[in-house]
Amino acid sequence: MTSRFFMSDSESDSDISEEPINEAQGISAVNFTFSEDEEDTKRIVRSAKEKRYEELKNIIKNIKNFKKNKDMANLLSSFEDVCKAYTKALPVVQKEEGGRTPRFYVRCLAELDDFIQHVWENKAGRKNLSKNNAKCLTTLRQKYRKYTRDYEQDLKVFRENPDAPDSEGEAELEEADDDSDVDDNLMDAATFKKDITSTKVAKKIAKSDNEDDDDDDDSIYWGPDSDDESSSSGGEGGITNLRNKFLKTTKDRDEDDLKKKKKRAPREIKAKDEESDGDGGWEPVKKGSAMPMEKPKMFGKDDEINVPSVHKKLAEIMAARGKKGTDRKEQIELLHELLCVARDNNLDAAIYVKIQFSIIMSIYDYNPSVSDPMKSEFWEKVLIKIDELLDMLIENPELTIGEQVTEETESLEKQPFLVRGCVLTIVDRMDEEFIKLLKACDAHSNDYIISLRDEIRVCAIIDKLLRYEEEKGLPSDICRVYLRKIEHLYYKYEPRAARQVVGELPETGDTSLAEMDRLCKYIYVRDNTDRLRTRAVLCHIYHMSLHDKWYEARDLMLMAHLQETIHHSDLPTQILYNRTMVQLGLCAFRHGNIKEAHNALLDIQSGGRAKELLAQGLLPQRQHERTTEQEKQEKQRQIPFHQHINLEMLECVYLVSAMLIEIPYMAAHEFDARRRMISKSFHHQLKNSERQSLVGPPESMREHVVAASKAMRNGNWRQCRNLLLNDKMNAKVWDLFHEADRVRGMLGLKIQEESLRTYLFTYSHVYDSISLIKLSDMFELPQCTVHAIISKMIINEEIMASLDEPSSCLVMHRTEPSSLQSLSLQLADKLYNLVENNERVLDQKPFFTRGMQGGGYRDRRDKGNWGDRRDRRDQNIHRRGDRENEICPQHENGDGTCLLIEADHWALTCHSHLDLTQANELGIGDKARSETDSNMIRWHKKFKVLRCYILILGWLGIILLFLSYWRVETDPSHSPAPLRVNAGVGGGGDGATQDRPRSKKLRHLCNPPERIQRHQEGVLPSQYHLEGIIVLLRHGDRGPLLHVRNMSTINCGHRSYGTQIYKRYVADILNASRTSHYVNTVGPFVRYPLLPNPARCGTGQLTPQGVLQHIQLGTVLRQVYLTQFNLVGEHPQPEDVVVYSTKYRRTFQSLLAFLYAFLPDFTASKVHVQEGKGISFCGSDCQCERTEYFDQKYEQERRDYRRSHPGIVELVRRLGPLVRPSYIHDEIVNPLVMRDALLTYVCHGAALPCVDGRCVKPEDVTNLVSYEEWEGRQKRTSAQRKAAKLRSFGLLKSIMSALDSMMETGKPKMVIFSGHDKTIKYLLDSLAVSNYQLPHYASRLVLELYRNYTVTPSQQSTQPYFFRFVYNGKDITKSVPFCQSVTVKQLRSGSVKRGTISLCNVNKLQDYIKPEFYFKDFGAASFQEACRK
Amino acid sequence: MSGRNKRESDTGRCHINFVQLEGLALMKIIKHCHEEGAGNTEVAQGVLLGLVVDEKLEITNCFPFPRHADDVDEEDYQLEMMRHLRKVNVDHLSVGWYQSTQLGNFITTQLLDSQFSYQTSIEESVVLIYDPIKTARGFLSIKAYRLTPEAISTVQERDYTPEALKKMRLGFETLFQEIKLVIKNSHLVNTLLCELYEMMPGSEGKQFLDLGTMSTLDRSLRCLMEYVDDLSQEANKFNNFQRQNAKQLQDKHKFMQKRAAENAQRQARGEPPLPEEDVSKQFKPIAPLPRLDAMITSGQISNYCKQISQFCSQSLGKLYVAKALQDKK
Repeated sequence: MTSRFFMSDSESDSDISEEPINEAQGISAVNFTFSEDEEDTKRIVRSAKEKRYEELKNIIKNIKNFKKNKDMANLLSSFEDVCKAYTKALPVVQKEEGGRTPRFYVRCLAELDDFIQHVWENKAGRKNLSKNNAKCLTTLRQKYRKYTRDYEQDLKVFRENPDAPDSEGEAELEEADDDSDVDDNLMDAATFKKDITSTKVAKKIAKSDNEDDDDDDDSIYWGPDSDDESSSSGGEGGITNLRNKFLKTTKDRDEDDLKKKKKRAPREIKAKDEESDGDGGWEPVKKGSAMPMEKPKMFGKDDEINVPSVHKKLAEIMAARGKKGTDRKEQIELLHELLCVARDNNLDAAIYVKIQFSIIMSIYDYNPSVSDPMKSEFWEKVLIKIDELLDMLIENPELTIGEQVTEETESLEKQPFLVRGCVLTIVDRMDEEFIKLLKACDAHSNDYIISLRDEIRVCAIIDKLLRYEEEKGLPSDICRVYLRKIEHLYYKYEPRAARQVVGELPETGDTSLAEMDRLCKYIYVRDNTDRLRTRAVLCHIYHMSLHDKWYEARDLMLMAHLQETIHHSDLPTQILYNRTMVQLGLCAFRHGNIKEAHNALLDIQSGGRAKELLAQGLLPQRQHERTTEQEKQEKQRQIPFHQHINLEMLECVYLVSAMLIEIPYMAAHEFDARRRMISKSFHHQLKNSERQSLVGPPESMREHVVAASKAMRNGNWRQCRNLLLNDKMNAKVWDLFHEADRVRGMLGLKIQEESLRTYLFTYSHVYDSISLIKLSDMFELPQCTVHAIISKMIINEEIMASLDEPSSCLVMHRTEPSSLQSLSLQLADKLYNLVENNERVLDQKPFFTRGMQGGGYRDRRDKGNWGDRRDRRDQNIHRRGDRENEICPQHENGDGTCLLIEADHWALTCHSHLDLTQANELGIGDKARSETDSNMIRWHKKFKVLRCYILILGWLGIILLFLSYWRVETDPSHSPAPLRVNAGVGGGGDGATQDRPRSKKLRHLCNPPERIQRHQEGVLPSQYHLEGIIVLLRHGDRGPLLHVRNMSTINCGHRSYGTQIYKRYVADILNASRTSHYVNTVGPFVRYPLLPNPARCGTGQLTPQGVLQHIQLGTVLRQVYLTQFNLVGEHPQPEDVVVYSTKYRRTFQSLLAFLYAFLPDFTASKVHVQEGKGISFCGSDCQCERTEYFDQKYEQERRDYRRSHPGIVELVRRLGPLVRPSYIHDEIVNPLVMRDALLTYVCHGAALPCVDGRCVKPEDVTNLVSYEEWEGRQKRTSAQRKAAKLRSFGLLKSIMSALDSMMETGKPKMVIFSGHDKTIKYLLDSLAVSNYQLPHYASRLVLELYRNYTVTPSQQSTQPYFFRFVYNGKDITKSVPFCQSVTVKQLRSGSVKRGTISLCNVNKLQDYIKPEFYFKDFGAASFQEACRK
Repeated sequence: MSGRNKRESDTGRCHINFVQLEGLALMKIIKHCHEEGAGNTEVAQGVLLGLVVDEKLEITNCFPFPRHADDVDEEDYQLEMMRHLRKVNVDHLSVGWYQSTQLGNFITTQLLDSQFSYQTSIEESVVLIYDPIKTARGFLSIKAYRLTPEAISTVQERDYTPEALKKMRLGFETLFQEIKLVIKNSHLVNTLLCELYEMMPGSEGKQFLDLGTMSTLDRSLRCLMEYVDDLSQEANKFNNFQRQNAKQLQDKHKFMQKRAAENAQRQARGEPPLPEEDVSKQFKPIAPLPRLDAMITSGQISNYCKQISQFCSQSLGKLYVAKALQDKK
């Protein structure tokens, strides 16, 4: 019963015994429950018997052999074996033979008996036996006697009739074999071909040995498509009869059949239940391989075959899909049959498509393991099927297929047809399978090529799909197909395209390049998933590089900005990125752009893991083994062989580029102490060859390059060229380029040039002058080239020389530092490092965070020239000097910092001192040889470094004078830039433009500090008493969130920076920050910088303006709540004030400014700033995937709003390139984002950006603002509210718990949250406040808690506590729907304007945020539930 | 007993103002150092013999340590040597030791340790540092050093933490004190020298105008660079230590806050507060870095610097002289 189909090869014993169980499960997987046990055991018996008998027979055969050889020892052991085997087989025997010993076994025993008797009696022979054999014989005889005692009866029977054939046992065995064959065949041939089946059956009847059956099967099985042949019920009878006849021949079969029939009965009943027409004419067919006969009976004769019934049937078949025991193969057959049935009955196309779909899916399913490729016959099949499917789809344009069609909306019967499913997925899967198939073959074998031939078909299918989708599909689908197509296209080199690039073909030619361009551009425009676009960009670059479109490829690479983001993408994309970079590098090399080539290849080559990075093979790992899982994954990622990039060529190109860069560099910097390495792996190769004691002639590619490098070092360009460009290297590397000759020419030229440079670097010190003519002879370069190279070197100050035109000579100046000079330069470097290290020790103090001086000197570090180093040093001294003097006294008990500083101080003074004297010495020491009187001053000019040290001393003195002011604020370069007023915009708040309504809006948005005034805060009726407040703040004015054009020129500190308040704040806060108290206060934020950057606008960074806003806000609120109401006493206790801030610099810095102004004595207050989670202080309720869903929905709604205002979309699109320096198409679509970007200009008084005469106009800004307001006025939709509700639940909860604690214990008095606009927006949305303006900078939302002392708890069941919301000075309690606010008319007289105020009972809020109520619109009763739904 | 008394004795009894070196002893030192200490990396060492007279330490004789004395015990050797010297009626009291140096790289931990043990066992001990290379170029270079009292007490406690150093006010410049050194010859020797001077031919003794100074500077700079590197490594280490410390402090602070909040809650619930002592267990203070190496390196660097600047100023003078001479011609 082993199915050959399942068992691919070498069936081990255990497999056999397991297999039947599988089969049994296959049957049981059918929905009905029936007694499986019986069948199970039955099956096991059969195969077990087979197994055991075979074992026995084998041993018996051995015994016969040994008997012939008279090998007693082996005979003995075999006998023991056979006894054991028989004992094992005993249960089987018992069952099968009814307790009778099988005859063949008895025969064996009898024969053995004869043999032993014979040998034993032959005494002479026995003597001749070896000692060992003789011993064994005795043992055998004894054992045999003992053993056969049980079988005497059998033996007797046997001896009576020894010649009879080994009875039923064996015969049956053979039969059983046959049977299994039959089953096999039937199963295999389950394509319902009458003819085949019948011939087979005929064969079976004749009991012919059908060895050739297998061949038959294979050839016919998937043969000329089975679908064309009908298998209607008409033809069934014949088969059944034949079959029955056959079945009757063996008892075994009969039994089997009987059992099945028994089982079938209940099923039929069930089936009848299912089918309302009730005649049970057809049965569910999925009853497994056990009864192949029934399968063809798909529909009864009388059944009406129509779309619903077929569909139902299909659903039934597909229901079993993916279940554990489903016979996948049979499913395929059933589906085929269903398709035929459908076709016979001329059903609609939709159902064909549906079935076809299912067939393809089940073929895919057939392969149980994801990592293994499909079998080739299935692959063939699937290709055909998909092709057919696509044909069908194209033929039936009225038919729509897609994933967006749900099960319910599917319409198969009437037009327009809607079918659920995704062709794309099928094709994607096909492609994957194709690649798997390729990977499974050995890349160097013929198989691979044969498999690769299928690519044409795959491409054809993709093309077909592409045509189909182009007509019908959604843009996102088209993008996917395009990408699929692109991925088959990008790595192929098309000679025509290359010719087009060269210009031999017209630009308009239809080449792969043009195709690529078309496809990719479509994706760039339409795609909204980042991944597809990224991949498309990469493929595009790859393809262009492949065809030598270097500039286009490079520009695209640079524009795409992929370098920064690629690390976040998935691995296959990263691999693609690597491939692209490599190809780009190769392209650069072909174009002679050596540096670019080197840079592009550096990352890939540096680790020695190129193979792995390009996914062209696995590298053995040294440290730890991969788990099999990892290995599997890595194997899956591998690129198929035909797409590989030649690694040797890659390495060679890299090494050659490195050589061309590195060798001149090395020659130029020979005396440098710490010269950096440009290419590590190149150095590695060099070192390797140096280490060898004997360097032979080069053999491998690497050795060639190394040898060439050495030749180049000596300026021997000819040898260098010969080493790189020879037959061996041509064969290995250069011939692989498509324009090999051009590349070789380029390379030769480069070698000449770089050799010339190296030569000059190395040997210039032995020349006084060199003739250019001589040089051009030496290097066989035209004189003008030599001239150009040398001029370049002179300009770059690489050699100190000048060109003497009349004599065309290079005159050396001999100004390269001597060894002593270079030594002192090195020393200077080292000292610089030391100072740097000491600086860092100081940086540990919180006061000295590095970022504070606006970028600091590190940025300039890379520049090597001395002038630069000088200011660096100045800066250092500057900082060091004042720090030393300020810090030392304060940290008297510190940790030895002073000590270090002293050392540091010493090092510098000593250093400068030393250098003065030493340089004197140097300068004169050199000269003394020739003429001592030569000017001692001249070294001064040459030796810039010296000047810097003199300057240092000067600086030290100056600095001492200016100790009190450590900041550079007096520095004129930092003085506030003059404020530019934009006529239309009004400069973000100039008094002169206040009258214009629009500029008023802008003023409102920028919210200049003077605008922040008290309005309705703290207005309360007399019988109420203020118990506490909760304040929610938005951070102050900040830089834009996106990088905008001219950002570096916008002066974000323009006005605020110079004000007295700001200066005082800076001084105070800096003083405060040096105390340990500060550390205590800010807790987790201790590392954050205290102050914003004074002038530069950082993306998303607070500006001095923002600080001022918060100082003002703090002052205002302090007047109200502390001065007027005296909420907390003079010295607030830590438990009185609770402060939270989000983990952003801007919120923290804002908070600091706010607290500074708000608290009576900030520097002595014991407030602790705590860290809030997320941007909305979500506390313990942060995790919620649902919010994203709502966000998307909300975003969709906003898109719809936008769509209704095409003008605004157009505006944003127009402004995009003006505002963003490197604008990718449609980067900004959200007007809010655009508004934010533009506010940067408007609020800081900068000119609006202009590009090529097109400018952003002030009207544009106001238009955007107006639109934003309009959008804000639209009705709040449920998605927005729901998202906000989920987001701000945590915040609401903490507000409520604060209120509770205020009411119970009276503490804390104040809770302050420093957050973002979103934080406020979410809260307002979740409270369902209608129609508010979006929070501007430094917005505040204050919740005031009052107690009514006239109401006692006994009087009213409600609490005597009330609250009100004041949002930016405006009472919004009335707009909170759940409040049913009480309006109180009575007012205490004061400076504030009179009016009514509304109060809301705390109970209402309590009720509102009860989860049952709060999450009512989610249909949930808790946060988790709401998130899940 | 020891600490206080010693300090008193340091300040009182054993205050040495200058060292008076006999010409004979000096010649012996020079001889020994040139034979053994010059040219190779090893240093020549020996014992100084003499007496303390008031504030003056007179060194009248010396003898070298055997160089490859694997089988000889140094102590025994010294004792025996002194016994022998006593027999021939020479000063036999050990008052310190001498050591050769190259380019002034003598400030090391070993020197510190040996001088410390000398000074603790024999109060008046000094160490003489002799530079053979410089002397060969015509500048006799011999210097006497003693450890300062602060250095002694610090080394005694073996506590080189920044705090301890700060408390002791010990810096690299207060580690060693240089003592004035006077060379004294007997009148007879002086007379001999005068006679010899007259007999000396006129062309001799003018090599002090030698202008070839490059190699010395070169070597000094290289050495200086080495030490600067070391120092900057030390600074790096200290930097790391500080960072770790700060991090721990912050963690601790966080933990304390949390604990305080927890305790407040527990108090509210009427439970006993959690003990405070496991804080110290959880946050074991990181051992502070010993600063001795850094200090010694700094000392060495300052020594180099002094030398170089001295050398340079001398060379500068010479150059001016040379210039004047050339002008004359």
